[in-house]
Amino acid sequence: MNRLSTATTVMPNFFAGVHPDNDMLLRIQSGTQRNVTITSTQTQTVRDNLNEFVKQHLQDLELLRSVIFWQKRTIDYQALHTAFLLNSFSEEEFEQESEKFAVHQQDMHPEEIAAIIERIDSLTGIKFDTSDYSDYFQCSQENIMAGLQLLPHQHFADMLPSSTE
Amino acid sequence: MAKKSNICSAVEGDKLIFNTRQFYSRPPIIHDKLKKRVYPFKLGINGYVEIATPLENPSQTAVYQTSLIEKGDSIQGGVIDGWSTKPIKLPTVGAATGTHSASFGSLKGHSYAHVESAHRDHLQSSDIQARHPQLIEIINPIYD
Repeated sequence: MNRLSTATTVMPNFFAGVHPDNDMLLRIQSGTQRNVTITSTQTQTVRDNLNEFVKQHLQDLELLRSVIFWQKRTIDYQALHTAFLLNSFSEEEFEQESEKFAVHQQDMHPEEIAAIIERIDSLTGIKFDTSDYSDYFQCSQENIMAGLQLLPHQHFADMLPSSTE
Repeated sequence: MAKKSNICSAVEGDKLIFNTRQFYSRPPIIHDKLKKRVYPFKLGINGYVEIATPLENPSQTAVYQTSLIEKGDSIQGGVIDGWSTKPIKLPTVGAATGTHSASFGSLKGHSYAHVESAHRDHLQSSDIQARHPQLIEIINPIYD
């Protein structure tokens, strides 16, 4: 039988002043010397940290979903192009079918591009080229390079032309 | 005939021929300057693109002032990307040098290609990098 399983009653003012709103989570640890350590944390602090973790997790999931959808779209287009190369489509039919894939490029804030590229790179570890990112973001490569210039890591700087070129 | 291999070197013509060891076709985009659909592509591992037919009146029609525009001008890189205004078709076999033939893909209609990253041999060889820090020798089309 665990001798530490006895109940102890404490007075309501036991933690008085520790957390002003009296809303706390307690961690109870039994020690080797029959002593007990009680650690208190404000509930709001734990809740905020958990919420932040979940938020980041959901953002990462959404980002990875977008990468998967981008790759699926690429696969679908390449299947269409392969069919054209195999003469399953005439040039006119291919042009007509590829119409549904055509997009207008948009301008994006370099800061937004930099943040997303850095996160994709961190999550996937895959080395994409500027033209890959241009296809993903559906913006120009000049736009991508403006974003890359904001990133400190050398492997992003290596994707940019040197100043002598 | 200009031959370039530094990052952002580019060619533009009415017909370009290329060879590569890795080819990606990408979904079309509406080019904001040409106001028409273009078919982007990427050549991986190593790529070579040469102008077979120049643009008509290139000073007026080329999209980028930095593009090489003369017949025979070429670029080479580890990764090359670009676009063509016509769908990209199967490669054809043609003469590459006086003694060698090679398989060439072609980009018909107004087309553009530019070096996205340096030649793989260049990236992987500190010796080549030391001897040619900015510009490496054109070795294509002599792969075979």
